[in-house]
Amino acid sequence: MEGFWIILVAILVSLNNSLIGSFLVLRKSTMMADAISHAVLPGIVISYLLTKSVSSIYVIMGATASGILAIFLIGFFNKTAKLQIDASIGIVFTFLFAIGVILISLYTQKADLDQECVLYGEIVYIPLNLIITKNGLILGPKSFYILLFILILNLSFIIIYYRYLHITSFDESFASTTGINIALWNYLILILTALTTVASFESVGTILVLSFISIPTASAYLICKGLKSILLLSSLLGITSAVLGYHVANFLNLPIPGCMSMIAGGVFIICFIISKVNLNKF
Amino acid sequence: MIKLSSDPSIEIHDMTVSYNRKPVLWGVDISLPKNQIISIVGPNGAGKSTLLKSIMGLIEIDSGYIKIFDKSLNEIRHKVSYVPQRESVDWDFPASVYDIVMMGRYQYMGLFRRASKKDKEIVLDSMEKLSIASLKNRQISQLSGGQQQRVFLARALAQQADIYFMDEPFSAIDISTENAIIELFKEMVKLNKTIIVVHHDIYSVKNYFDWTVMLNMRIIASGPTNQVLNAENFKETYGSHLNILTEVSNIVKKERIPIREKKLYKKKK
Repeated sequence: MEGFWIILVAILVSLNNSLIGSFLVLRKSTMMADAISHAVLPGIVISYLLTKSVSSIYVIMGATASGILAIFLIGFFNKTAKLQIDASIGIVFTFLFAIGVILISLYTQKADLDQECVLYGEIVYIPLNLIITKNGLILGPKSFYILLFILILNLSFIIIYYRYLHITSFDESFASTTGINIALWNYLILILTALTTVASFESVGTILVLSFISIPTASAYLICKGLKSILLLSSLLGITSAVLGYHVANFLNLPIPGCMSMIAGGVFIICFIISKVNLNKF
Repeated sequence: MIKLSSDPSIEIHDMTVSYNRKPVLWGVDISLPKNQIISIVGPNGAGKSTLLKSIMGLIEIDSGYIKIFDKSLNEIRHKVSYVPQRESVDWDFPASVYDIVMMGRYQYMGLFRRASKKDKEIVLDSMEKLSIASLKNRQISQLSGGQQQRVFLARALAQQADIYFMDEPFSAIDISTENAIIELFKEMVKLNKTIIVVHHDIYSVKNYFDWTVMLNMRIIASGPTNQVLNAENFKETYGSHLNILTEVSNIVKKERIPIREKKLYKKKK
């Protein structure tokens, strides 16, 4: 039963990240995801210090808040201070991440919030944090429901606003002249990225989240013809890497998130070879 | 010579635009006629693209106003089409020629309506007019520069606007295609369309365009092409490499002289 929940949570993590990652890769803002996933750290620590619980909803809210703070800070430095986008990203996320690291080592030495858990994730412990009703019914891990909620959010956003996302990802100035508010859509995508990363960090850690966001999409990008097929194939590749990675990790007794990322990397290499051999895309 | 049009398609009054606190367009005051092919010419850095972007609301203007068919842009967006510079997008984006031209119909389709038979006909017709119908299913990453440019023009046609703003639509296009596109423009003008083109080839202006705007940070001349194309205007537009306005711009930036009259006005309130 524990294996079942772990695989299910891993599938949800990879689905969420592949979907939102597709737009990040096409908009050349993959590193924004990296920035956000690191910048959530101070939010996590501060809300933990306030509530003394790692898994409360407040931790998610705190993490999302600091992720969104990072998005706006990066936008501010980029637009107002005219700093290049990669420089702004570098400054903001390392600064916030450093604050998080310092807070952890200052205040949480005796508690069960350790850097390892936040950085590398503890998908093995996911089934231990269950939702249990008053009459003792076990509904499954909390993370599962949070990730499911985010997946519904991501999916409905993409399905409803597909055309806006499509047109703004290709040609911002044209989209803007047809009356679409570019900045708004950019921020909405990044806010969803923040939510996705926050929901994922507990399972796979803030560092490996980026591999779930970028690798399946990048693989699909190499062999797909259109946006819809990229969304489909990257989800599929993400799920494959999650399931295969879990079994490999179990078999060899290795950390699960690491194995998932490694398998994803292997899948990428296969896709790369396919794209070089077969020039007909899907 | 700045000739005003009595029944203008577009009217710009006292517009100043700046990039990064440095003014690039000064006191632009023009009105352009309807149903003509109009060119905007000037040297590199004269602000030609900036002028189009300001009209399309892509850049905030510091002062003045712009009216298209006597209305603000927001009121008549669906009548206005914009062709950005070809280099402004990533042509490795995963999409077919058909996908991109179909984007010209999104305004009419909204978020949910599927492409109707009419939408599809318009898209195919636009592609045929630019002779790219045979490339319908081709990936845009596999197109030549000239083909990419024609995809952008086809997308604009699919918008079925009344006024078209095109930023360097002839870049990367060979001379025979260029002629074919000019013929297409002439036919569009017969259907009461207005076409405004940023153009870099001064030698072809006389043959292609009914009306010409000569620009170098300010309007040097605006009027029927045969009246404005003269030695004096040429000298003023292309003459000195670093003209006095460039120097003034640099001083404005260096001395932090306020250029945004709107913001000052707000502060006084």
